[in-house]
Amino acid sequence: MKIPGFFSDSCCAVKPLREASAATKPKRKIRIALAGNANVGKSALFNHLTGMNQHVANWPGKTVEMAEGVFRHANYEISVIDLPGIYSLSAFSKEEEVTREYILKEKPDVVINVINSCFLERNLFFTMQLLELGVPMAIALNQTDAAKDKGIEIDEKKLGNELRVPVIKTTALNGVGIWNLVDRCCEVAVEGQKPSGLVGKRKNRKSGVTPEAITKEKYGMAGRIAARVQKVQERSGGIVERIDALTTHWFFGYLIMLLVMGFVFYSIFTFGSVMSSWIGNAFNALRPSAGDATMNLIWEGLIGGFVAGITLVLPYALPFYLLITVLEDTGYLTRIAFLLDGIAHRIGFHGKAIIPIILGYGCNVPACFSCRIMEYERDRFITAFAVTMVPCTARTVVVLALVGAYLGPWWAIGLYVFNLIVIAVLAKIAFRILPGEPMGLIMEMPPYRMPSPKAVLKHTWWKIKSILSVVFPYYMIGGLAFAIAYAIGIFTPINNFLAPVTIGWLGLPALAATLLIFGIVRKEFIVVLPAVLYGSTDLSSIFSPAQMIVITIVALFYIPCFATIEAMRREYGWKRALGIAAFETVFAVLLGGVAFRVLSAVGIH
Amino acid sequence: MTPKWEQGMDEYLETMGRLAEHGRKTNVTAIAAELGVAKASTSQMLRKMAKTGLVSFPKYGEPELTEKGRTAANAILRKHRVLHGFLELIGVRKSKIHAGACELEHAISDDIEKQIEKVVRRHETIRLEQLKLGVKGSIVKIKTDPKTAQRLGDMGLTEGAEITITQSAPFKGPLELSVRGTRLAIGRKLALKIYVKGMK
Repeated sequence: MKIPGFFSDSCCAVKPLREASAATKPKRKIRIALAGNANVGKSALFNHLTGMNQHVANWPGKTVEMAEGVFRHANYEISVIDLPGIYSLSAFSKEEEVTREYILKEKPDVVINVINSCFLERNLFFTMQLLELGVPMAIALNQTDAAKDKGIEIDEKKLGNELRVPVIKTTALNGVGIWNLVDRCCEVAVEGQKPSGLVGKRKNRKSGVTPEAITKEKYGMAGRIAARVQKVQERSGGIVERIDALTTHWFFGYLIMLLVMGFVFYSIFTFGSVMSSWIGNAFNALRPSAGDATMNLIWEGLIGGFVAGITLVLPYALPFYLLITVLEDTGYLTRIAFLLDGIAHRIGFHGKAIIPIILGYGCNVPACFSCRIMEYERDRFITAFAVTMVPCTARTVVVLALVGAYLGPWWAIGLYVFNLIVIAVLAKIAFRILPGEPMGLIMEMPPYRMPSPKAVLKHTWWKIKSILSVVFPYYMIGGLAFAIAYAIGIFTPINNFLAPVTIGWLGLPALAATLLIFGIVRKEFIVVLPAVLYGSTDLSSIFSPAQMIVITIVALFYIPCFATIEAMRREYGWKRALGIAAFETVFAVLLGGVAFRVLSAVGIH
Repeated sequence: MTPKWEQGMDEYLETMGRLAEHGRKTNVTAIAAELGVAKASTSQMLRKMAKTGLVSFPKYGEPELTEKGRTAANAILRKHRVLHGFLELIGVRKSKIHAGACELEHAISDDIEKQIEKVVRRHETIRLEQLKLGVKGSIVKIKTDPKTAQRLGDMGLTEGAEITITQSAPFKGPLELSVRGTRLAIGRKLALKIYVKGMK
């Protein structure tokens, strides 16, 4: 499964630039669109064509991103757009709507339908739909090598005759057949060939013909064509299939999942804490001499924002997303979604929602974007809501520095479990309140494959990029705001103003107000600021054990950081982003107050 | 002298069995009405049948199946149902199925009935969930809202599609299916709305 939102998928490949030899000839511009199912190697093809010459385009008004790139071939300047991977043009999801709209309104000169040769029949169903649109087309019969390994042999000439469009065998990963494909595309574009006949006119005109009947008919046709053009030698499942069966097994599947995820989190935290302190120390060496509070503050406010970004991204987010991307590219995340679907359903989610939630433990921002893997708006939104409460690395710093360091790891783990339970309960309530039927899971389970290192690096980069572009600016701006706020001396008035909440309801020291407010910039400010303001690194001199637990609970649930709010705004608009922020703040304060009272009732002060 | 088992007695036996099954009285009036014959001939036939020991018919009472008679009646009813399914399966027109089953039910032995039943079972419409792991089935009906049906259809799950369950997740988790050469995971609730029949 590809996680969208980081504008999915690309793997850089070396592009053999075919500059026009006769530079005098006028160049002709051709626009090509790549369309096809998910997991067909569309993006690999795209990367092979465009190399590094690409950028992300956002379809106006929709949160669907597509990659665009330009390259030259013979006498042509060819721009390519990589449309989202979809299974149908029924305009059922945003991606399908955008693809349909793009093809019909932008009218690319050629649409290349990329087909995974291993799954010809299913892919041909989409081809039928494209043919109906009546646009100039060519078919890239991709992943021919993988198909061969599976014992599938396709006669591309026969297929071309059946569909009456050019069909070219390709292997996008190593570039076989790609330039042949481009040549044919240029011919199609120049001649403006439109596909003729076949399904052409059989649209939903006759009354009484249900969409299902049309789907059935198209699949019937796809099946018949596939049967005519391909030879399949059944091969018994190899080692890959056995691994597949093991990882979805009712017992070993869960065991393997626990081990894998345990390994990911454990290695991240051990590696991260070492790296983080290492980087922190390196920057601290540059820090102006201690003692001067104002200088300290400016440092913490301005440069600190940058440093915090670095110490968040390099040691935690980068390795985390690297490992997750490896799991994603092999296809393992899909298996986790499969295994957890049953449990997730008790809450109202379906299995795919697990993926953004896992990503949320790294940083909520890319996790918010990744909610796009859900087809339905309602599922997307509630998953995003849940994601904003998942303890990201910044919140983990708070948990570890307060509860973990002073009360012990079991308290920290306890808080994590508590956090998960609360998220589950709130999500369940949200599913009850928001109108709509819970949707069942329908997910392709692509076969396991060896991820290409280049692709993994690039996919990781897309995820990290959203952190750099969204999180970093807010860290810097927030830091600046903090420095100014301190300079004009409004901390004490704020503390006093909010004292009824912090002292009265939550039982925290007055300065908690300042900490929590600036925690909106960066959650770890909550544990960093006391050192800045008081020059004391001993947090137990500021907080009692109960206060540590209370402020950590508040920190876990209250208003998401600015960067996350911004990510939510981009996906769901101001109203819902602020609505969630307001709700979570009120909820966290209420929960914190209850926790304070429960803790003092059981004798923890 | 053992009374001869006459052609047609089976029909009476079957009718009585069906009446008894529905909790109705097996009196002459009801049997005659069911078979569409005169009460007098019904009465006459039942008298004859009483001599075989399958039916009791006291002089001033109503006929009833004996224990032996009930067993025999049930056997006929069972054969009727199996044949009904069989005729349906091989594509006999709906209006002719009942009459056909009524005729054949008397002609087949228990062994043949068992053999036919096996075939019918294999083709019975069941919920996707009930399909055994690794057994090929074909989709008969998808009973969902149009939007979901469309989505399932887009992924290749249409009526008539061949389908195999390759894995089933616990905790009411999803089913992994093999359909049209691809692997799909389908949530359990959706799987409940898909009806299939087994194939050989």
